[in-house]
Amino acid sequence: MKAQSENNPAKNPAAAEYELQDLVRLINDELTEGLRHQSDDSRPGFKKIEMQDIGRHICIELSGNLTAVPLSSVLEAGDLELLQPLPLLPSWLSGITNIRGDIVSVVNLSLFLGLADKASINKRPFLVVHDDTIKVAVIVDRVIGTRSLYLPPKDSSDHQKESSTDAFVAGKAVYKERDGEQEIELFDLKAFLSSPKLRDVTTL
Amino acid sequence: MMETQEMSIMTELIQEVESYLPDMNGFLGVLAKDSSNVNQESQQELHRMTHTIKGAAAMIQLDDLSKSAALMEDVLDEIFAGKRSWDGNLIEAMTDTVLNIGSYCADVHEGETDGSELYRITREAFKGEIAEEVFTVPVSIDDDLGQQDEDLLELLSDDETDDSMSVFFQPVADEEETEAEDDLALLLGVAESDSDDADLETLLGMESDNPSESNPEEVIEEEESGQDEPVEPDYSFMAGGIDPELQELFNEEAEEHLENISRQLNELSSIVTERTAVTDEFRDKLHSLRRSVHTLKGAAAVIGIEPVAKWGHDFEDFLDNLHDESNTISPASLAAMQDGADILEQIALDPSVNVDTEIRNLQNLFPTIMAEGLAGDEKNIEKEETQQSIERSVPEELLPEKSEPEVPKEQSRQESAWQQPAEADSIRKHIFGMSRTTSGESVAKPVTPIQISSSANSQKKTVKRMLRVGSEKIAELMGLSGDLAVNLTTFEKSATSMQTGLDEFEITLQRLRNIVSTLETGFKQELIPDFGATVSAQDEHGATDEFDSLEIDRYSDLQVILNSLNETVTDLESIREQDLSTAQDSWQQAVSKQRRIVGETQGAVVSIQMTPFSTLSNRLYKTVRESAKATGKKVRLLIDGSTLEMDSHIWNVLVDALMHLLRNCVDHGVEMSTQRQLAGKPEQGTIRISCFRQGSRFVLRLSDDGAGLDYDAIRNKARDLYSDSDVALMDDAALAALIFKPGFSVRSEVTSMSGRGVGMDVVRNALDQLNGAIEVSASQGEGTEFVLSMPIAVAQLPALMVMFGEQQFAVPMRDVTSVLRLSAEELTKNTFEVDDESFPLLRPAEILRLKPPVASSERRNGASHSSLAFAVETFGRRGIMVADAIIGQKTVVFKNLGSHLQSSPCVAGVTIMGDGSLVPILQTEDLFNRVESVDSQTDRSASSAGDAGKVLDILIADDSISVRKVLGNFITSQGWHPIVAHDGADAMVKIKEKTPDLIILDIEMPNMNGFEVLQALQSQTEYRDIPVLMLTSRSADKYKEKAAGLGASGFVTKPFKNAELISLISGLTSQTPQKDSEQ
Repeated sequence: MKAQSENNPAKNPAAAEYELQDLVRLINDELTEGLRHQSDDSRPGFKKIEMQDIGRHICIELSGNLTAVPLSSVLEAGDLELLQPLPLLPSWLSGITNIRGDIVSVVNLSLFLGLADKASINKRPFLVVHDDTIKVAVIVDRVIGTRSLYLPPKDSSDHQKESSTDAFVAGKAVYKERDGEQEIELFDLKAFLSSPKLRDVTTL
Repeated sequence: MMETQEMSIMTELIQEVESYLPDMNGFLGVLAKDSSNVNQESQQELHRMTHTIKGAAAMIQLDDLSKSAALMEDVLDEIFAGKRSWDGNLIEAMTDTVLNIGSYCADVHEGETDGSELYRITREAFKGEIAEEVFTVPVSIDDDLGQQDEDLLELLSDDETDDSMSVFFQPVADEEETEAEDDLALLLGVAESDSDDADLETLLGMESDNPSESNPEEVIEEEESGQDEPVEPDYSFMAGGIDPELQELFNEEAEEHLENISRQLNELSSIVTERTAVTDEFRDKLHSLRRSVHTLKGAAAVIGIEPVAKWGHDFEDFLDNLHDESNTISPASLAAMQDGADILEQIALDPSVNVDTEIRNLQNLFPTIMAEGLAGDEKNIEKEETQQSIERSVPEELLPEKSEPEVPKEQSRQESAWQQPAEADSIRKHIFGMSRTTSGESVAKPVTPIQISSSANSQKKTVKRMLRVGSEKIAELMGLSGDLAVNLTTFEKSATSMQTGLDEFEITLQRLRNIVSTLETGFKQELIPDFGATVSAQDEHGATDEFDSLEIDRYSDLQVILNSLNETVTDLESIREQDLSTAQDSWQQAVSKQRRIVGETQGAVVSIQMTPFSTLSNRLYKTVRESAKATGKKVRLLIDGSTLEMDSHIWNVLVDALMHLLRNCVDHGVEMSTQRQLAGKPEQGTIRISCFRQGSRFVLRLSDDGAGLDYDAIRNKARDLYSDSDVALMDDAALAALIFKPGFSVRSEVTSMSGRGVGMDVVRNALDQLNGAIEVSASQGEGTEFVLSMPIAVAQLPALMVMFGEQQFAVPMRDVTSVLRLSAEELTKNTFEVDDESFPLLRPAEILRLKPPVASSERRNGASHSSLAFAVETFGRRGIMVADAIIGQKTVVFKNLGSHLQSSPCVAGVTIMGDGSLVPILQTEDLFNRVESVDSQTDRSASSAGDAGKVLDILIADDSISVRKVLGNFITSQGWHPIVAHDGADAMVKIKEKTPDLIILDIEMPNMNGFEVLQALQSQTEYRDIPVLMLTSRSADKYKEKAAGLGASGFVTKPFKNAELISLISGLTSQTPQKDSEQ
């Protein structure tokens, strides 16, 4: 988790003001923009060669780190409004919430990954991620938006797993910005959803 | 081999004939209703079927059938030729013949091919209806018929025919000769003089010289039935393609009937443990049983599922016999019925499955059972009593008339094979409005028009349109209905806000009204001398100068404003009354109505997912039956609570586990009959399942009366897996728990029943999936009991809504026995006495480490208020739960905790409130477990600093209420428990009441200062080790040194830093905060 956000709210307060509704609008704009520039390789910083498109991802920020989650694994995004804490659960498991009648566990991703000791969850954005068997809402610091990600050439994307946190990093990718490329870590959602820590919740 | 083939052909022919009978009967029924209204198409169809029966029966030497059909066909020919018309007697004769053919077919099924009775009865039926010449069919056979043809004739005719060959060509002299001649004619398939030659030639395999002379239709028919190699009836429509829609309908109908069959059998088997007289109750069940078999058979025949139709027919015969003729019923009869039902179920689900052996075995068994049933009266069964009970149970119209002479048994059997006598008689009655004696005499009664129901008709009546919907769609519907409720709550809130606004509007309006009134009064009384003194310009010019002020009003500006205000008030009142109030009322009504509809919708959606336990029953009964059969044991299963409804998901997961348990009970638990008898037990073992709800949990008890667990065998097997020393330490409960270990089986050999050690593991896995638990207990020689309990996935349950700390919980009312109020003194104790019985005082807020409300904390430590509590009882454990508030009772919808968090300590599930928020539902049993667990831990390490995750009791002693409050909140926010004392003396009292884990002590306090408290603590051994943290505004070193000298563990100066304080507390207690302080 080393990719640092260039859109850090501290540096760019306006970015922190984005509401999810704005993001949806932004996503649509981005999709339109993406189509318009689909064949345009003249923009600065755009490297057409050796870039493998790995599809659209939702880019999020966790304790200052930029992370991408595959769009196909995200069922929903929103602001957490109703949270019901449950007793005797680990601190990273904030409780449960009701998403249209569906009860979903709420995981504070920063705490789960050990990126923070404490984190407020009130009014934080969440993503509902899932695999074939479970569905979990993960609290993140900020949802940046959706981006088409590209794998950089192999020599620059070699990822060495260095810490326990990195167990949930699948690698690095880049997405295009107007002024160049932004590097971002790929969140290993499969590893996260199948991890014993998540699956076998140790109660207090 | 040849014999088998012939039998097969014969069986198929008979089935073909049987398939015609309902239509033939139906046509005759319509005619009986109105003989003048003849449907030509139906008449031709009747003729075609009769002709086909005649020809086909002749081909396989079913002479009586062929001849009987020929008689009918002759009559029909006469009708076609206009020589005669339909009348009541003729229709009756035809109907009788059709019924008799049905009986004949049934006999053939049973291997009785001597059908001499049929032709005799048919002739009897038609006696007087047909001219003698009809019997003397003129036969014209060419004299030059070669030897080859004669040989063929010999081959086709029976011995009797051979014997009478010589008279075939002689003029008819008497009835016998007529019969003989008729025999040949029918054998040859000859019935009409103008086509005799063609028919005969075709039958004999001779090519006609002039094919165009023959009737093409008949040629085709005769070709079909006249080939050298017998042609099997055409069932290609069955194998080829059953309409999928019909198949689906059949499957649904079959499911319904199979369930009824199984239910009736299960109920019978729970009553019949030995040979018993057939009572009204039995007969009712048998009646229901055979009705289902009959309908299933009919439906299968209609859509062409041949195996079901075939076996259904045979099985129905057996049931008919039991119902109509058996005096007794035995476990063996039931076993045969159950086997028959199993076969029916198997072939209904998969018609291609080979059950020939099973069918053959049963067919061999049926006669013995029927004979035993008939012989029941010889075994001290009061026949008279039974007969009376039969008469009571059978509808009067179906009972044979008492004046009737006794029908010969053989004839009765023949009749009952296709349509039981009573039923046949009933049909006759319905058709002809007359009853008929066996002598053929009939008593005319008015014709009652009825329609004979065919299989197709009965199917049409019973088929229900069902819609199969995926469970995910139901879940989606559930979610949407929840959304509806949430949205409605928003509306309700806005309606309430609007009402509040209207109320305020009303108040403001009233105030305005009062002000205007006051102003008016004041003005009139000239209490405002200067204001409004200026009169209007009009008045100033003296237009009304000559009038006194009492004679004419003079309007000042103020008066005009007042009038305007008055008008405004009136307008506002009008708006409120006419518009706002009306709109508000309509809105409230609409919202109220919508609330009701949403509630009903939610209820309906919840009910869709709920199915009764009885949906599993059949599979469970079958499992026991099959297991008993495989092991040679006698076992019965009894189920209580089969109507209990639960989320179908629970049943789906549970059914395999239950089947494994049942197989184990039969294989390992229940003893062989001989052993049971030696042990003084009934010969037949009993397995009992009872299921019920207990609070938020579903409990299923499964017990047998067998030998109990073989602890020695388990112990021996355990030695293969564990060390001897470990096994030696295991008590019975620990040994019993081993049976759920994967791969654990005491059987040394693997059989189809057990020995692989996977069964009980499957049970455990299923319960894990359902967040359930299983307990096993056994008494040597008395049996084994398994108790399965699991939370209810989706259900409505009444609950007591309470506050534990700051969090709302729903406590299932099933667990709550009473609500009570505890005094401040009682609250400080750990137990509560009721009628000399002591109950533990449970504090869920503490046990669950919930944030206590500050007010509650103050109240508790201030010891000046009482508190509400409620008594609970679950699984035999009782206690008193202290609540911070009791909100009231509410029926809540139980929901599980989602796909990820399938279980949570002390929380069984959640319920969704009207505003979409979630409220946990307490799992009372788990709370008791946790208390016991904590108690045992406390006992083990009472002197230690405490286990990780412990909720610290921290005493705060400070004379400043602000400090106490701030510090108290901070401690609470860390998930710890604050105890407050307002001075040193108070601190000592609190310490004696309950020893805290840590003390935060101010120095300057009234009564006893901090140093004095430190000294007092150091002087008492039991308090010497309590860590004390001095918190003071005195920062000079001399204070620190003094405190350290008196045994203080730490020193913090005011104002303190949170992190510093946490760090000190954690360091002194080895505990970390339990909660995120920012949450």
